[in-house]
Order: sequence, then structure tokens, then C-alpha cells
Amino acid sequence: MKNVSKLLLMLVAVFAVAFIYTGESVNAEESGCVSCHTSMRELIKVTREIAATKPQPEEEVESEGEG
Amino acid sequence: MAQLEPYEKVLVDFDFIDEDVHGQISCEKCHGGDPLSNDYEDAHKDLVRDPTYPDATKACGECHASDGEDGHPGIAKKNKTNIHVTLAPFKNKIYLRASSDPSVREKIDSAMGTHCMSCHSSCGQCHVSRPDSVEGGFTEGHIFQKTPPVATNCTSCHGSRVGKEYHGENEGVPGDVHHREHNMSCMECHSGDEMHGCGMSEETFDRYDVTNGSRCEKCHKMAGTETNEDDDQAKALVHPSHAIHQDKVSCQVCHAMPYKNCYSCHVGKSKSGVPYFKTDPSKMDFKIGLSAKVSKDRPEKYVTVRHVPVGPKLFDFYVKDGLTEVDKVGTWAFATPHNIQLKTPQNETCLSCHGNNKLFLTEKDVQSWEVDANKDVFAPLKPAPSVRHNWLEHPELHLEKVDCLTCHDPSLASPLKDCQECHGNATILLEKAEGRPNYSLANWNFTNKELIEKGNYVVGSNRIPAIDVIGILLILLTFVGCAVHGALRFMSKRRK
Repeated sequence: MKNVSKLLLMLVAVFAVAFIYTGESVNAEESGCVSCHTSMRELIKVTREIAATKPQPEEEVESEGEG
Repeated sequence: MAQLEPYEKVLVDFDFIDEDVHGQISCEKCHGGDPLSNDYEDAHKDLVRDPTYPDATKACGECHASDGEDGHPGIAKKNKTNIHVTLAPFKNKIYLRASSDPSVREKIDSAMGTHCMSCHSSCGQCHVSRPDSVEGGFTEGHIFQKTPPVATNCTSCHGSRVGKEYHGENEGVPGDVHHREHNMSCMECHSGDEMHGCGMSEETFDRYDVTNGSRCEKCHKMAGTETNEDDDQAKALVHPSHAIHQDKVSCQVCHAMPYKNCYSCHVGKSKSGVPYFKTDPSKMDFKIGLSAKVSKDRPEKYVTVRHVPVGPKLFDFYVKDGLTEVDKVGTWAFATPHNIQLKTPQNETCLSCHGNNKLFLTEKDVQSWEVDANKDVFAPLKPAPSVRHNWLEHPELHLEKVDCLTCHDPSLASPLKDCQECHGNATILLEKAEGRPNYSLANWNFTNKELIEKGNYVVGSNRIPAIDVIGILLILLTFVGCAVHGALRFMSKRRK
């Protein structure tokens, strides 16, 4: 009986660890942040779209000298 | 430093998620936003770009709150008064020069917020990305860098002066010996502890007030007096000049090369609201001034001083003549140039510095509005060495021929002034002068040769009594010989 309860406890522990681990992995995979920010193709597309919508400054004054 | 492409700035490396312990924390926990949205605008709504600025206690403090056994030093807490984050000394120095009128202060605050305060750093802007002041961007795909990279993080802010000095990028001035010969990075002197602040309870007034800053003496100890536990590779201070100048002259006065000085910064905004700054051309110069902050930690009276780029019109775009007290604070400030060399033009000989008035900051070096501001920094010029030594019979000859350390022996309470010390029989030149002969004056085989070759010969210094006696005897014998010869000739003539 003792051995069976020990085995059950161990199984519960293993499942708990596995559950926590897979939970985090799923979170990372489901996250839109991760899927976009790890994709170079996606980021290039988005940053180009953002740049296209940004208003261009009418004139630019460049800093002169050393900061 | 080349700018990153927009996508490179925010591209996260898979290794960050797989291997970095910080990658186990969900993005939104630190940055906010909506991780479930696929729309750019919605996903980035209320996004916190840098969750570590200005207060890092929430993002970093959970783990990095206290000095514990888990190896997380209490850096988040210290960061509250870390001058990399607060830039408090910078602000303090501007306030000292500014009008006390609240409406003027408000405009100056606005100008500083736009221009000056953007140069701050934060936990993230050292360990994750480049600083905002250089347009940001991950250094290694969001992987946390325990030691920030020098090129993208240290010298991206400290580049114009310190970075160029250290790496030898100023024309005609070699890089710092610690970089050039020993390949030392910033962190070898400036520890992580220093970078995270000294934990002062209040904001630091001056950047040199921090108690855990880097010091030359940490590695370079006086030879024979102290042992070096920090770095057994560091050169011990063997030259007697160190004992003479210790606590009187800063290390950089003898060991720094000409460094960059900046002038007359003024800031403004273009018509479309783009902030800009303009400075007058910077100048390479080397100036020794008086320390405005002599303290127990920094007792040196003579220090290298650098011109700070402040000018009366700095904030005129925002508020006309806002710096009403600009003449109350020195424009030549204590500096620690980062182009250290063992041998420099000013330490070639003692007289390369002593009496070389060009090296010292005086009224002639500043504009009229700066005279009052720097009155405590100007170094009082002392009479030329030949005038100070005019009690000697031939001061110029002595200064040219005699090593200064012969008389100004650091082991003596005061310099030698007795001529007999050099010009007597028991001359100190044989014992103390550099390159002393191996054999004694009292020996019969002594010659002038070694003294003369080493440039130590002083008239009368090597008089040998035995030679005097022999000379007198030879003269007497000559007279006796002549007398005997004459007497014999006289006697032989009489016999004939």
C-alpha cells in the first residue's frame, strides 16, 4: 500500500511539473508578441508599413558639433 | 556606430526565449500591451518600451531587490539614486547657473527634458538594448547582457570625449595605455557596483561624489609601501615623483595627454519640432587648474580641467537669458581624461611642467564672461624655476645640469640647500644621483669617467686628496731637481 501511495505521489509530482512547463511553452507560442518579434519577415513588413504612414518632416535641422 | 534597421531594433532572438531566464517571463508582464492581438495598434496599446525607466523596482525589483544568496545584488533599489538614471549632477549644475524665477525654471526644465535628460540610461538600456539617446535597438536580440557591450552601450554615450580618448581616435594622440597595451575594457576599472550607483540615500550632487568610483590607486600602489591585492599586474609607483606629488597633484596631470574641450552648446527645435543642438568647434587642449572640490578622498590641489560646453545662450531658444548665474559656476571642471600614458610631454622632465605656464589655466584662457566663474580654478603662476633658484651661484647651469631629484629628495623633509652636499668631498652625487658609480671616490682606481658619462659631474665633487698631495710633491721635486741640477752645474764649473 505504501509503495502504491509513493508511486501515486511521484506521478502527481511529474504531471504537475510537466503541466507547468507545457503551460509556459504554450503561452510563449500563443503570444502574438513572440510570433511577430521573432520573425524577421514579419517585422520588416510591419516596420515598412509604419514608416510609410509616418509624416515626413518638412525640413530638418541637423545637430552640429559633438554632444 | 552604425544605426540598426528598424526591424533589427526589435527582433527577438529565439535563444532569449529558450535559454535566457528572463525569457521565461511573459512579455506583457514587463511591457504591457495585448499579447493576444494580431493588430499592431492594439497589440502595442499602453506598451511600456522600457519598463526599467525611470523606476526599475517593479520590473527588476522582484528578483534584484536585496543582496541575497541567490546572487541578485540589490541593484534595483540602488538605481533610484544611480546617476546613470537620474542625471542629477547634470541637472544640479544647470540649476546653479539658472535664474531662480519659477517661470524661467519651468522653461529650462522643459528644455532640459527635451535635450539634456534624454542621455540617461536604465537597467534595460545597458543590459538589453542600446540607450534611447542613440535610437535604441536590442544589442543581442533581447538576450540580457550581464556585461553591457562597450561599443554599443558605454561609448555610445561616452563617445565624443572619453571613448575617443581611450581608443586613440583623436588625431596625434595615442589611445590610453590600458587599452593600447593591456586591452582593458571599461569594466576593468568601472565595476558593476559603480555602474549601479553607490546607494546614496539622496541624489548625488556631483558625479565625482560617488563613493565607489574608479580610482588609479586601487591598482597602482606606491612601490615598497603597499601590496596590491586587487591587481598584481598593475605597475607599482616606483618613480620618486609619486612620493613628491602624492595627494598634491592628480595622476592625470602627469600622465594624461591633450584632450577634447567643448564650447558654447545651444539647443533648439526646428520648425517641425525636431530638437537639435549646436556647439562651437571643440579644441584639443591640456590644462591644469585648481581643484574646486578638495576632499579627503580627492586631496589633490592640482588637477586636469576640461571645458564644459555650457554658454550663456544655451537655452535662449526656450527662454532668453535664462542662465543669469552662468558666471557663478566654473566652466573648466575637474576632469579625468582617458588617454593615460606612462610618458607624456609634461612628465618628460620636472621642468617640462614646473615653469611651463602654458599648461596652467589662467585668465588668458577664458572669455570675459568666464573670468569670475573660473576664479577658483585658475592656477596661480609661480616664478620661473631660474628665479626660484636664484640663491644658487649659477641657477641656469644647475637647472640644466643637475637632476632636480638630487636636491629635492622625497625622503628628506626639505630640499638640500647646502652647496657642500654636492661640492664637498662627501658629495651626495656618488650616493644619490641617478646612475651612481659602482666604486667609491676613496678608491685609488676612481676616475671621473662614470660621473661625467652619466651627466652627474659637478665641479669639485670628485676632489681626491691623494692626487693633491702627489701634485704638490711633483712640483716640489721639480724645484728640488732644478736646485740640485743648478748646484751641481755651479760646482763643476768652479772645479774647471
